[in-house]
Amino acid sequence: MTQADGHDAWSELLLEFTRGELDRARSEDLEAHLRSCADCRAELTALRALLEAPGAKMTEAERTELHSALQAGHAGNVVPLVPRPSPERSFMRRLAPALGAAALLIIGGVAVLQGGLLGGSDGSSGGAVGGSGGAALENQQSDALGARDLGGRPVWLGDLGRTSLDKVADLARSRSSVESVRKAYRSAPTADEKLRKGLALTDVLAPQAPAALRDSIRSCVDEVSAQFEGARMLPAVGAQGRLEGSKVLFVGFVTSSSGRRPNQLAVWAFEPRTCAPLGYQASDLAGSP
Amino acid sequence: MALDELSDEQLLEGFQEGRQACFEVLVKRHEDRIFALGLRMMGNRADALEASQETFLNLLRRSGSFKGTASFGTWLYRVGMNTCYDILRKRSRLPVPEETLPEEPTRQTSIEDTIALRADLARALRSLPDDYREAVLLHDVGGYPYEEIAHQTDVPIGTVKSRISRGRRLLAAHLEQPGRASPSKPHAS
Repeated sequence: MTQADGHDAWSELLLEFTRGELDRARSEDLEAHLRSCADCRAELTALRALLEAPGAKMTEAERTELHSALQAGHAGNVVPLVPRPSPERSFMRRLAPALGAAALLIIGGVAVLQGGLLGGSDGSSGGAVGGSGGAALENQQSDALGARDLGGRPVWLGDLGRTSLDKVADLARSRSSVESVRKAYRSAPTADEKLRKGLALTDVLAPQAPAALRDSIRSCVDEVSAQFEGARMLPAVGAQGRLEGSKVLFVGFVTSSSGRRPNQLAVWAFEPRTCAPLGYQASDLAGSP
Repeated sequence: MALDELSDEQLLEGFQEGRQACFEVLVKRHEDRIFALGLRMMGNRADALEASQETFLNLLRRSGSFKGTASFGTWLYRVGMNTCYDILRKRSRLPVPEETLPEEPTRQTSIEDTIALRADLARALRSLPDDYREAVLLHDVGGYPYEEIAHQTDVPIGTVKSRISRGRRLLAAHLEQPGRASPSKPHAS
């Protein structure tokens, strides 16, 4: 190689030269060139400074710290820690299943007559409600908690077939349900009310799903609530689909990374029968206040 | 197939479908490279570790923005660079206590000198125009080939080479005479 080959050709050899990867003959040519080329000498100075920075590998202690932080951050990314629910709320949540069971026994017979109650809060839900005592119970609970006045309208997206958390999140964000649930989240003045709304919204979402999945939706929401006790998560969308050949139930929650503003959509995948969480993905909601 | 045998892109897809173990393999595969980048950008180990954590948390939050037009490694490396910029930008808005200001390089050949040199290198890197710094870090520190950088940054290969060459010279000028190298961006080819 000669000077006539231009600076660029020599410049491209400098990285290999600095790493000691250039063969002897070319190294000698380059060294000869370096004696007469100030630009290449300057580049070599920079490269040596970049590559000779010592201790660039992590220590084991740093590695452990990184992994621990990521483990904590992973959970924090989905449901950041916020103040725990008030004792009153916890009591209500414990009481709710017992009240529900009692209500089921008492009002099961008149369930069908009340099946259309939730249709007013979401047009898509009307067809799925009614025809069972369970549906009537959902209506009773929703009514008692004021679901019709929430403004939030969780939506069942249906069977998505083979899909991914990403795709469910994209689909959820394109639906107004997320925005309306977000408004409901923001309109709730207290943490306690947010939790009430979460429960009520579950009761709006569940009736839209096929009958076999309704109980699963409630259990899965409970599973997330139990796993991140005290977190405010309002269910906004639900869907079923397949991940790697297995049937999966998805629930997307509007939540908050700060404990105040609803700025995230956290989509969870569950094994539908056991409600074991299979994974989740949190993504920012555009235009977060 | 064992997770270790999967490509980065396959691991990312697995993670997006809810397999946490895929994320852990990705972290182990790239953590040294990202830490080395952070060390050069931030100038000390504690900040490099913070930048590494933030980079992988950004991967958690924004994995959906990887479009697969270039390799995952190059994409993550750029996420790492942007994360370093973000941390530095946020800090630049905060008052810096006097005792945390980096010291000027000394003439001694000691461990203190090494630490000071790294701080000086980080400052010199930060003085480069963004395009030049990105090209230099991707190629010289990250070890990515010209073609891939060109693809990832959407510029011709000739421009990548030119940015690297000019970026190195600016870096050397700043290292030799801190504060005297022109921070303005020379005309790129």
